[in-house]
Amino acid sequence: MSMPTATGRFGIEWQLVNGITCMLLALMLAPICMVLVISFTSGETLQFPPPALSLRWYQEVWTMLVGPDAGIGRLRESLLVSLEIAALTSLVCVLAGVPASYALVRYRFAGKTLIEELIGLPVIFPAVVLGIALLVLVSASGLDFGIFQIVVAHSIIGLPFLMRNCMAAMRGIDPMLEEAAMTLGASAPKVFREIVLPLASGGIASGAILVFILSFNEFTLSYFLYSVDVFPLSIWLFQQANTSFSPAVFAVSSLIVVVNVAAVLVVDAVIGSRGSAA
Amino acid sequence: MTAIENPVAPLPSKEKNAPIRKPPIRLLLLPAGTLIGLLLVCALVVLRMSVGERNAEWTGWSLRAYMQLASSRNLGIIIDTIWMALLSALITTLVAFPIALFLTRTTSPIARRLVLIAILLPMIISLLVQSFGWMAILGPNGLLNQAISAATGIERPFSLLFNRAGVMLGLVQTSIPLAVLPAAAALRSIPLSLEEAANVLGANRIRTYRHIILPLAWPGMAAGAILVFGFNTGAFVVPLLLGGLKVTTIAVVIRDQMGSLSNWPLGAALSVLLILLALAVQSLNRLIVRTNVEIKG
Repeated sequence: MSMPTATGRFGIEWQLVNGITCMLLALMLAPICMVLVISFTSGETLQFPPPALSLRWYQEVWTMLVGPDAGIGRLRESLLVSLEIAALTSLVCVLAGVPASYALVRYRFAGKTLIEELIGLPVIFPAVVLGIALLVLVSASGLDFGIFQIVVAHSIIGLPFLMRNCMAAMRGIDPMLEEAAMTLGASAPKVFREIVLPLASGGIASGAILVFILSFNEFTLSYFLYSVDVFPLSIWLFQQANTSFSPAVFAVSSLIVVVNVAAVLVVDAVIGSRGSAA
Repeated sequence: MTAIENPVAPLPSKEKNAPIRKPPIRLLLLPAGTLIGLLLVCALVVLRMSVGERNAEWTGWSLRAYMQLASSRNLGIIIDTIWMALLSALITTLVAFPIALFLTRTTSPIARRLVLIAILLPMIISLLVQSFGWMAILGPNGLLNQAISAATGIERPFSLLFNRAGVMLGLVQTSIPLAVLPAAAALRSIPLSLEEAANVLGANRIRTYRHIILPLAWPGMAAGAILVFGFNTGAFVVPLLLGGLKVTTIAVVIRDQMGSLSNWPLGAALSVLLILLALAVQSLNRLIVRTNVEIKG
């Protein structure tokens, strides 16, 4: 046996690993690619391969979004609601997560491990149970929280993702910088504003984008908490899947895929440029 | 000399040697604590309802819901859910291994990053969107059936959709990153020199895998498998979209019991069961990670 194959980075073994990986990735991405291709069909049905390529379903989506009848299909309304929910969720997660991250990174206190465990709880907590329990609470209260019942639900599951990014960024800040600023007379809020926030901004931003995507795509919690007036895009898609199934739905889905990929690339670039990629 | 001794005039600080004052910890933790607190309230709500009586969930006390869990129908669904989660964890771990190998061994940073993004996308992109794609591939008139009937001439469409195979496919596909990332981390920690040493001492690649790579990588693979198992015990969207009405999991039954069947205590008892499963999985994961760290440390 020759030396180069000793560590499995060359030769047949490496080609095998390469080949299997490519095959698996192709299989995993197949449904997404399928949606993209069919959205460009010129036909009326979802047949594959499409008879010819055209942009007619994107034109259709455009009319659904801005045309005179945009109110009927509810696409525009649900898109706007989803964007609003995602933006508010990111905001709530940043406002709640950034101070808490600072506390967990910089302070020593009793029960810290317990709090760290609790912060991670939403990741493993079954989403169905959270959705049902919140629904029970909302209906027991008899109040109408409108958009905020979904925002709060999304914020609960988004918080650990924001804090993970934020804490990683804050751990990279030299505590000496803060001490120096304080010795020079800066007040605690000023140190936080002028030293900690700018240096952690990359982590906070990537966390916020992650939470935004998470909320925008989220289905389970929205499914339990949506109402006639608050009708997110994921619920719109779900209803389309159960009723009419035209290539227009695939065009909407493709646009969602593009937005998602763009967001992932931005997060990747932000994290990658800080040299802390996985 | 006194001026040089004190080149920088002390700033007008009230307590010169006082420890640097930071904002109170409670204030910093309050907003996040409120969100997490709400989650805990949710857990308590289902716990209370699970020991309540039907139509008197807040006032009555009864253990009937937990006895109903043991009925053959419910027990069947519980076992079925756990079995599907186990099987998906096993398949996902097997599938994740070559991808993790690729991630650790490739020397091209671009390929590494592309693969990472490619495995993350199915997890991030809305499963609704992906289920549309699966329908186009697996459905009665889908790509797969076209290919099969073209190849064999058999016209009877066979469906991978709305049955267990479709659900399994979806479960594996969406949870692959959970298995790949810990496995890749474990593989990365294996020094190259170990493989080289095995080679010098005459071990072939299969023996190297069996006696060096797999034993050293298994804690990472097990951690990934446990994560996938935990994630999939609560599966709701995948069975709902790809299982039609034929494949039910605990989460789907919770929805039915709390919704159309309005047996809230039973739904709540199943919810408590799901929470306990999640916590058990989390503790098991901690245990494996900790033992692994102790061995290495």
